[in-house]
Amino acid sequence: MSWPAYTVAAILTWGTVGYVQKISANLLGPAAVVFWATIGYVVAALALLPYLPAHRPALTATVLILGLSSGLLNNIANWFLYSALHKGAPASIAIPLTALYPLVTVLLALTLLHESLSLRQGIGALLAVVGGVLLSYERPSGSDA
Amino acid sequence: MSASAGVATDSKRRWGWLVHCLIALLLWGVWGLVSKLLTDRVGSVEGQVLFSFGMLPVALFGAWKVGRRALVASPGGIAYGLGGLGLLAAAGNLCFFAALAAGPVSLVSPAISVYPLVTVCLAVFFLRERISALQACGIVVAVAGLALLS
Repeated sequence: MSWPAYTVAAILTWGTVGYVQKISANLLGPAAVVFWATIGYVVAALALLPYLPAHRPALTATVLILGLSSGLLNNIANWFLYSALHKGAPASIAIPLTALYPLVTVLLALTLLHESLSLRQGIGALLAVVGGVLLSYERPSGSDA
Repeated sequence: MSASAGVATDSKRRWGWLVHCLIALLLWGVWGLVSKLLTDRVGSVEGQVLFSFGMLPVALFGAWKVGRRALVASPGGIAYGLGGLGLLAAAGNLCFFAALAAGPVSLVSPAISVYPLVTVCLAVFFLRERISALQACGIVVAVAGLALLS
């Protein structure tokens, strides 16, 4: 499968996760949500173990550090977002604001990985992220704006 | 002196959350890059396994901080957390890693950021929510962005 096909699968899955997040909001506190979600990830990881390719690249220190820090960074970011909401951040600002993060990734990829985007792709990337930001804006409850 | 300290505390309280949001924004931004470096070196399944175990320290620290009672306060919350936000999100992350292994992160990451489109559609369909004018703009802009990226 090509990257667009996997991307569409990720959009559909994460979009559904967003819906689950919406209908389960406030059932548990942020730390508990992060805890159970992580346990779900670990259960899924254990279920994946038999599907590890037989001929896989060696588990070098670099791979180990990159893999573990990828999970660590993601969950620390989750923690900061939840903590911002806990500190009284309006969700209508905090969630769209943090949804800008792919722009940071794009800037890092262009500068550090020397990836390149055509003008068309650059505009597309910007519009996709801005679209995501606008879509993640939720009216503050009680407001009809 | 005390007045200015009061102002400082007040502004810290008012803007503290903004700093936390910006830290989250930066960390997720770096996460995208680190994930690309990872999937350039191993397959998406191996990457996903390492990623999942990397999440554990934060989860365990949070659990230790709030205590057992807060963790099990709602059986429904546990089910949604484990299933919807854990297993399902893990499946999404595996797709994200597979996309990263096959394509440039500067295209994959912005393209995936339109996922709230699906959330909004589900909320309209199942919860009969109304789409706001801003969200309607978001749909047009996101679809235009995807079209230019593809």
